[in-house]
Amino acid sequence: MANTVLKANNISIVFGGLKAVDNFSIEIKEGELVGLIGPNGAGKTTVFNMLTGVYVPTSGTVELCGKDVTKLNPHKRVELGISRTFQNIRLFKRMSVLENVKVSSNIHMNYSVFDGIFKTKKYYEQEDLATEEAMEILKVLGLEEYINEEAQNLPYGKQRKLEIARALASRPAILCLDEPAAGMNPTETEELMETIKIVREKFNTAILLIEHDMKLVMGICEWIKVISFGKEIATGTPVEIRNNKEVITAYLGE
Amino acid sequence: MNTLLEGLKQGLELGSIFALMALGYSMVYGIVKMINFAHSEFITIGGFLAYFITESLLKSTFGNSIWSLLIALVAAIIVCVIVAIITERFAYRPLRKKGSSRITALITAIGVSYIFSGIMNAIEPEQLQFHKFVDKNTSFYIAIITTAVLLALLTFFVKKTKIGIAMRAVSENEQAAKLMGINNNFIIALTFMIGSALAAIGVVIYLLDGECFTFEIGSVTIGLYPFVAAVIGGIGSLPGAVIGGFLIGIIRAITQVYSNIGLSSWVDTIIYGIFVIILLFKPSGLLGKDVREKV
Repeated sequence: MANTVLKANNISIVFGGLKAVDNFSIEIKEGELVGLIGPNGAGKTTVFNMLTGVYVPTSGTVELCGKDVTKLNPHKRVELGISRTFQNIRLFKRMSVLENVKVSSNIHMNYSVFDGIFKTKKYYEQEDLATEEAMEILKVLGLEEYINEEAQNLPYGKQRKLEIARALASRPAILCLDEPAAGMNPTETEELMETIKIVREKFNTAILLIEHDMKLVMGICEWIKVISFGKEIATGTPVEIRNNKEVITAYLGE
Repeated sequence: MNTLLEGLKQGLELGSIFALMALGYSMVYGIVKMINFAHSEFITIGGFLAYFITESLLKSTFGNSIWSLLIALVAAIIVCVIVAIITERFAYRPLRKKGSSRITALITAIGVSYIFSGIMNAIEPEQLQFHKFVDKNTSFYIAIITTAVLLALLTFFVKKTKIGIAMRAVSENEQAAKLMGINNNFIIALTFMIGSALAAIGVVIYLLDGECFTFEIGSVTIGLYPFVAAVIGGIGSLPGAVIGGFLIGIIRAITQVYSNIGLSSWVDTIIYGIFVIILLFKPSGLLGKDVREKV
């Protein structure tokens, strides 16, 4: 039986008087590919923000690989194995593609400031290893020819892929993708579906995915959770979700 | 002609000292987008500490030796670094955490600067003279070589180490950096520490040929020059800060050489005049990158 990598127990968050997310729970096991969908403003990104530590939930707990991380800083959670991309691309625009990925390798390097200044053996060993690993990730995502390019100069679709590459360099147990296909045309979306499948197999990570493109979600997710107005309305396989009355109502109205 | 050459040399020395101090302004601005006006007080604290330690060491077995100077330098660096950590931790970080506006941070920085200045004034309001460890000629070479070496080390550090990459990541997008596993508070504190260590080194080099100074050395004597150097060079750019430092140092020294024709009282007018003209043509400084948002 696979281990649980991410677990949220009844998390809620209140902004002002508004309950943006209400008693949300989820449990994701090693290697699973899970979708989180819902109409605009349902609270999907807010869930991501609570899982990754941008917000602390008003109530409820978050567990990462068996540890309670509810009050932990985002950067400490990354060390424990969660990683994410953003709905609006947030790359380090003026840094090279390779450097963007290596930002996330930081947590796996432990040489000191002095090793860095005096270029000790430790410095070279760790930096070389990080570069090698970053190159491998970039190759899988088809970005190896752009390594020295500034991130802002990449075409839109490649920038989205670079965000995934950067998130992978921290070696996550679970990767959270926030609308990875947003703004992509059908061909690019198709390609992205393939990429996500490959990423999961190659890097041995569970994936939690927010997406509006139903073809993508239904095509690759093993199971799906649907929220609307901050509340869970359904959980199930793609087929079950597609035929769920409540889901259809939430999307299309009465 | 001789005096012009002498002036140029003096300008280069002063310029490299300004450059070391400008690096602190520039790096801190680059990472937290805040002008740390307390930086000038780090300079004063470094100078004071180096002075008091050398004075007491001169009476000890170390006496007049280079060891007295080195011990004083190391002590000044350590204390400046500690002061920078405390300032960042208790004055700036809480503001950052609450997401306050940039003007609040700026006013806080000015406030912190006056607080330190007041304390220094209370400790020693009189003019002091630093012990003359080396002659003018030697201090020139020390200044140039130190700046060159430190700039090279720092450039390498920022470009090629994980901490440098983390610094640039935080500078571009703090939130995203945090979510990629970067301990942003540590990185910001480290930037303050590097800046204030450079300020301490700069002021000791400034003083070591027997310079006179008061508690206003950071705020008035050296004053805004390093900050202006950072802006002219392109704030956030390391070589830019150094070029800006040299530029101001040289202009200042040369106008002083021609003091007999009445130029010396025009020093600041000339420096700031050039400053305004440069910024008219290159608003983001000589080596600064134009920031233009794509629409």
